[in-house]
Amino acid sequence: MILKIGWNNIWRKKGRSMIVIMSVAFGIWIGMFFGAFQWGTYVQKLDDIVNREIGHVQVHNPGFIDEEYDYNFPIRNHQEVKSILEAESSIKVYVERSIFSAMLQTTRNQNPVLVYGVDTAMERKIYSISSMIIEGEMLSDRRAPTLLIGKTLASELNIKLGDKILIQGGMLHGLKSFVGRVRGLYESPNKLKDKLVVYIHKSDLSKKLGDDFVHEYAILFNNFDSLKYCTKRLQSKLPKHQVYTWGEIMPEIKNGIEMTDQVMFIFMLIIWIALSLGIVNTMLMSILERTRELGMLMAIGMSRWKIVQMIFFETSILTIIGVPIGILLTIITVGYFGDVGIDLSVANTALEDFGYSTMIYPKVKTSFYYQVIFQVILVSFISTIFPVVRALRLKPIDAIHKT
Amino acid sequence: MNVVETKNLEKIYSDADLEVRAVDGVSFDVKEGEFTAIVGPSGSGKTTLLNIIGGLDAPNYGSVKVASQELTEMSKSELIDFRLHNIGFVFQSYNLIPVLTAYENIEFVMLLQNRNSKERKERVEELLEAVGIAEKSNKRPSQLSGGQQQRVAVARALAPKPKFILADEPTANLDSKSTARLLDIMEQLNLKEGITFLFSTHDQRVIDRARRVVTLTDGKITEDKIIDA
Repeated sequence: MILKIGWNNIWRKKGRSMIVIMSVAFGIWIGMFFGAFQWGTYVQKLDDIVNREIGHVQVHNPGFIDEEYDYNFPIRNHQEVKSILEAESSIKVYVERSIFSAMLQTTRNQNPVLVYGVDTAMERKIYSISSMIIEGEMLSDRRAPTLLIGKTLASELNIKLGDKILIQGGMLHGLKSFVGRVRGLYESPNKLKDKLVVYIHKSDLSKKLGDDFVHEYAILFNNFDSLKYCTKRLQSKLPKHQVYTWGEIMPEIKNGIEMTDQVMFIFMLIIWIALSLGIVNTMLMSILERTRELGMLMAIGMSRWKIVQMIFFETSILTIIGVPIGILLTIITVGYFGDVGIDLSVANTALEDFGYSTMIYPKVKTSFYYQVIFQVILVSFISTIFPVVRALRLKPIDAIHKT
Repeated sequence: MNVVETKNLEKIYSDADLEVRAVDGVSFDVKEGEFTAIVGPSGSGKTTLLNIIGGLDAPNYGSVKVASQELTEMSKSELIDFRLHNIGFVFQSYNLIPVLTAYENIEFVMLLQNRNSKERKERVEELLEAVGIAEKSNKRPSQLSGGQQQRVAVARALAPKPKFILADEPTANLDSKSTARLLDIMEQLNLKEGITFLFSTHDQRVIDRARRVVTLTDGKITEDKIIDA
């Protein structure tokens, strides 16, 4: 009967109840949609940068990172490291790279670059470099080492296919240089990379610099979610080397994601506060309109606990109706934008410059549904406390005679 | 046997520099089966006295016992439970639950008492019959006239089988015909089933039917007249 009273009370003022239901639905939808947007951005960034380039972790000589990618700090005994990586069951795939921090010079311009000596066949296990090529090919050339440079760098330095360029670098132990020929231009979602990274066959780099150095093992684990555990385990097997997570290698991306998390937290907080105020206001109005009725219920012997139950039941029903509507809206909108994407280039071209893709494909992870639903129920519950307290403070004698 | 016993009841409302003695040293008893009206002009303290007897308000001084239990010593939750099982209320403005039917309004109090469904059904049907609105059992209060609503309120008050019924100006909002019908019903319930009624009223039609009239003036009992011994 209490449930019946609660149920019927909801429909006494349909418009007002609909406002609460729609507030809950909107809260769920906007929370989940922006969560999906955030998660989509995160997944995309992981895919663009972490999964395709950096790897989940990287193994380096600690001095290499400390000395800002100094060529003269390669991984010691890299064959031994390689065999450990081969034997490690948690590793899905790894690639080895030589990295030469240098200055790229044309007859008129120059620019600092990182020359990545890569084994293209090995790289393909992570991501095919050739799929990024928009002009030319990364073909071997007997006359000069083949270079693949970013489109952004090429246009800034006015470099064309077939041009010869001088790569000159070296840190602690003197200068090293060689001439290479541009055989291809690439374009990646990361504009910073396009401006900074020059690819060369690892064998060409070794030949030209006279070493067989490996500076980096980029590794993908079988399970990204066990990153911490796998990293710790790998580090214990490579005590003389340093294992860096992707967040340590690219702190700006990690910070960017964390910042997005914080912005989302504030955003969600604002939504929940708005939802909460809506529920408090509506339930309070409902209580105030029923002051006499509540007074009578208390007078005839309805316990406080039953009054609490009745009011919470009313909020619960409104929430229960609002939640599926919100989920449905989420499924529709995330489904649509997950396919066509949201193009942010109009709003913010600076994103690209920071290595962010401007096309975002919202994506919902299942745990997010539970999370948001739990949050909405919690907000509804908390918001009902104040109206309940107001109801319980009513004195039956005053409430009955209230006009 | 006394259903209600009050001794030296005092209820004082005080403002900054104004003190009103709404009930001023009232001592009186109500015996089982009485049909008593508390009368007096507006502001004489009738409703305040009734509220104290009903456990809805507390006196500043004095004692009030209902069914031999001292109400002034009870906590709020004990009072709620006591009211549920011992006192039936009939209010001036009916105060039915608007979203429930007449049947459900009567049944509701028994649900609060955790009575089983068979018992509830029998009692509700018996009461609907007794107050003469069996055919309106599925109607909501908004679909009933004032007199019919008040009859539902009487049935609701009787549903938990209380020790007595407190009715605060039960006929104030009713026309003559409805008043007469309601009084007939209450009188019959009193005479046939021995149910104790205690009214506050200044309606002469109620006073004329009462078998005991207690007159209150400025919070004091000025007359206590047994009409029919």
